[in-house]
Formats: sequence, C-alpha cells, structure tokens
Amino acid sequence: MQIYLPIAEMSVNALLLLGMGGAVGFLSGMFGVGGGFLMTPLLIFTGIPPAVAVATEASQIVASSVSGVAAHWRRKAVDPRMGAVLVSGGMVGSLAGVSIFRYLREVGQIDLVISLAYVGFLGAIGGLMLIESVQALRRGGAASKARHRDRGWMDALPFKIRFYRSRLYMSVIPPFILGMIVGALAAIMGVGGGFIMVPAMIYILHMPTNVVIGTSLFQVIFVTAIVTVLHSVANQTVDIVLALLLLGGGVVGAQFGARMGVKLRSEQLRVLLALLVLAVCGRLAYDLVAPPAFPFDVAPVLE
Amino acid sequence: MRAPAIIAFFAAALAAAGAADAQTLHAALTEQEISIDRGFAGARIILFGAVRDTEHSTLEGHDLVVIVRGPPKDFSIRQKSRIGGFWIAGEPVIARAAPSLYFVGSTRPLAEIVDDVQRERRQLGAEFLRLSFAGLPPPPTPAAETARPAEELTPGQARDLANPPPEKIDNPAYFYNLYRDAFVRAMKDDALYTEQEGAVRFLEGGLFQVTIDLPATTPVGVYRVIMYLIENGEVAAYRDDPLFVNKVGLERQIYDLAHNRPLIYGLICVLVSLLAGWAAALVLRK
Repeated sequence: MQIYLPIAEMSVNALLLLGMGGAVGFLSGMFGVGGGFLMTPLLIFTGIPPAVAVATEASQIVASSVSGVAAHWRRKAVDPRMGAVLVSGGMVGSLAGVSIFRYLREVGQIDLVISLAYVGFLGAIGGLMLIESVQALRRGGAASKARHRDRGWMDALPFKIRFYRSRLYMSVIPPFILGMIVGALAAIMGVGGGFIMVPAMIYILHMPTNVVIGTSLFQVIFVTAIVTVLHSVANQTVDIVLALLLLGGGVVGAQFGARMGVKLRSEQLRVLLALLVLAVCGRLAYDLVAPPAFPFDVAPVLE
Repeated sequence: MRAPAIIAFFAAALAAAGAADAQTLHAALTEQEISIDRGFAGARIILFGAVRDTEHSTLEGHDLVVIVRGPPKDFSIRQKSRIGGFWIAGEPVIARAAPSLYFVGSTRPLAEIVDDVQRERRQLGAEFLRLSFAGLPPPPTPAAETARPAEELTPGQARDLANPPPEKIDNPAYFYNLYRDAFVRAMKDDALYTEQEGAVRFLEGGLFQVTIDLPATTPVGVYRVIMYLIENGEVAAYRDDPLFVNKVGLERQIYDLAHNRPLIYGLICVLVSLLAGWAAALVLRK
C-alpha cells in the first residue's frame, strides 16, 4: 500500500514503514534506548533523503519518549531543576546544530556529514555496548558496581546550585555543556541523545541512578521538540505523514518491547543489539568508502 | 500505480511548416491536470490524437515524435573524488533551467526517422538536449605550464590538466560533454529522463496513441507536451500543449503549510507527536 510523502516528495510502502517503526520501537522498549540512532540510518537505507530522515525522526522521538516520562514523573524519578539546566543547554546546542545543518545543506555536503557522524557514533557506541554486554555476560548477570570518581575539578567551577532530587550541589556549567552537546547531536543526527546522556549523568554528573532515566527522558522530549520546530523553520524537511507512519508502529512496538524486556532481560540480547548497531555502522561506512557506481552527484538546487 | 489519467486529444488545426495544409495534427484536451494525492505512486498518461493528411491516403512514411518536458529547474552536478579514503563531491557545476522531466517517445527509433542535424535543431533525444551550465572548468589545453591553481579542479581534472589524454586536448566541448552526459545519466537513473521507442502507435484512421509513464517523484508545475509529425525526415506538423501537475487535497495543504508557515507547521508536528505518544501510552498500558 503506497503512500505519498508530501515533504519528501516520494512514494513509500506504508506497511514497510509501520513495520520499521514497530521493530525499532520494540528494541527501544526492550532495552530502554531511544531508537533514533537506529531509525534514522534505516530510513536513509530505504531511500528517504537524509535531511528529511533526521528532521522527521526528531518528532517521532518526542512521541516515543512521552509515554516513558509520565510513569517516571509520577514516581518522582525526575529532577526538574537538572532537567531545566540540561534543556537550556539543549536549546543553545540545537540552535547551533540546525544552523550547521542548514549551511551543510546549502553547500550540498549534508549527506556526507550525517553519514560520517553516524559512522563515528555508532562505531563508538556499538563498540562500548559490545564490550559492556560481553563483560555482563561473563559476570553471569551480576550487577557491576558503579565506580565513584574523584570530582575534584568540577567542584572548582562557579555558579553552583542545589539539585534537590539528585541530592547534589554542583555547578550548572557541566550539565549546561552536556545539554548543548546533546542538543547539537539531536539536530544534526536525528537522535534523542539518551545513549550519551545516561552514561554522562551517571559517570560525569554523578546523579543517583533512580532519577537518571526519567530526567534524561524529560530532556529528550524538550530538545527533540525544539529540534523539530527549528528544522521545520530553517529547512522545511519535517514530513508529518512519515512521522505519523513511524509513530504508529513505534509506540505499539515500544509497549510490546517493554513487556518482553521485563520478562526476557538477558545479556545475550544486549550483545545482539550491540552487533546490530555495529552492522548498521559498517553498512554506512561501506557506502562512504566504496567506489560509487556513478561518480557524480546530481540534485536540484535548493531555493 | 493509480488509475490512469487519460488525456484525449481531438481536433484543432495547426499550420504545418512546409507542406501547405496537407497534414494537420489534431488535438484537444479533455483532462489537462495530474493530481498528486495520498496514493500517488506515479501516473500513466495515455494520449490519443489524430493526423489528417489530405495529400496521402495512408500514413505510410509518417512518424510521430512526442516529447514531454517538465518545468525548468536549476540542478547542481558535482563530480566525486576520493579524498582521505572517502568519496566526496566537489565544486558544483549548475545546469540552469534544465527540464526537470524529459520524455521522448516515437513510432520508430529516432535515429531512423530524422538525421542528426534535425535532432540537434529540435533537441530530439536526451543526448541532443541543449543545456546551459554555469561554473564549467576551463577546457584542458596542451600547455601544461599554464598557471592554474590546482585547488579549483578536482584531482581527476588536475591530473587530466597536467597530462591530458590525446582526445581531450584542445577540445573546448570536453567538460560540457562530460557534465551534460553525467546529468542525463543521473536523471535517467532517477527515471526522470526516459526514451521510449515504440511508445507512439498509429491506430486506424489516422489515430495515434502515446503511453507516457511519470514516476512518483515527478515534479510539480507546468509541463509541455510537444508533438512532431515527421515525413521523410522533415517536420511536417507540430504541436505544443501544456500539462499541469499539482499536489491536491491534504497533501497540498501540508506542503503549503510546511513551506509558508513553517513555525506553525513545526508546532503542529510536535503537538501531534505529544498527543500520539500520550494516547498510545494510555491505550496500551491498561
């Protein structure tokens, strides 16, 4: 069943997109990851122009994060102050990211930069995930102890405030910068940034683990919403029809994935996810370095 | 594919070049617009028309060439070269006001119907399209000592400049041909430029039928449908009619909103996403 995407200006198979949304949603529900970093490359592989894939995926992440954050909020597992600082940084970062994106589109190198960014990130994240899940497998599922690092250099920073829910008294500069980085990545790559945010919150900001996921979701929702609006204004590449198709499959898949995740939480699945991420990375890298069948890029000039 | 949009051409006389009113191409349009809506996956247009020839009793020796030209647009063409292991596109050459879609159909292969002079003159066939480029590199000359900054050229062009192969020397059309061929090949790969011999068929009584397939990515705008009646290698009659391709309905409104009111559109997208996420969580989490 073909549907015409008015912004991407192409025709796609609606069932294929619903299925893709469902599959990635399932993985995200099961492993608690955003899924944006898998969905955007998959959209690009099916022929959606990268600029449309990145901008539209941001709006889909808004939807899939909303269902998660409500539950955490009720359990008071969100630190609104920390969230506010992160989001402020995120606003600055996403503004910068969307401007960079627009500039790259105008000089015609946006596809290359998106691919390079993904190869770098997926390679790093996939590698780390593989190492971590193999270690977890070897430990037979026992939880590892979080190492407490010496926070000396951060204590010296100015502008300290109290973050009550996280029981922290620290400078707003590190979370602001973290928010900025994640905001820029969300704008350029179409990801939520949770896979950077969560480890950074635990190991760099030393937030207690019970508020980490909820606060990260809080930040992701605001930043991806801002990114969606900015992309729409600056680039006009958000395709609402595509977003709805992905949403439909995604939220359903996420619910099933979350239920399965509770039952089957196993280290083997995490290894598989790491391998999947590395496979996507490999495919993108191959497309970048393989000699093209046709050594010319032809595209209409943007108005 | 959608149900075919059928365009029927009926009587309207046109002065024929050369032979005085001996042949006329008859055409009128009953449906002149292709609507891109939700289920659009390309369109098949079937043209019917008629040729009235008062001189001859049959249409033996006559051929028909039909060309459909999409709205003119600027395209950027960039040659890829290997830099640091990656294939990266270089400086753009702009094809100005090139047809965004090009279809040529004929009763017999074009080379058999008309000679190259005619093809050149009327631009019959993608290889004979006259394109206007901005930013073409200067043609290679045998004077390798000419000071030309190497950064302006891609590595391939620089290599060619330093040691031009014999056939490229002093050929001012070299880069024009290179980019023109690259552009036509890219458009053919995207199914926007197509050439179909046998797409035009003569039926009984001077009627003819042309089948044109437009891809799903066909551009929006005003197209030209140009028909040439060829007799003995010369153009005996000619017609140029418009064809309109437009997005309609919800798809059109979405597109217009996204481009004319991007802020509101973006906020609507966010709102829809928030509501959809909320609703899904409520419904599925009994």
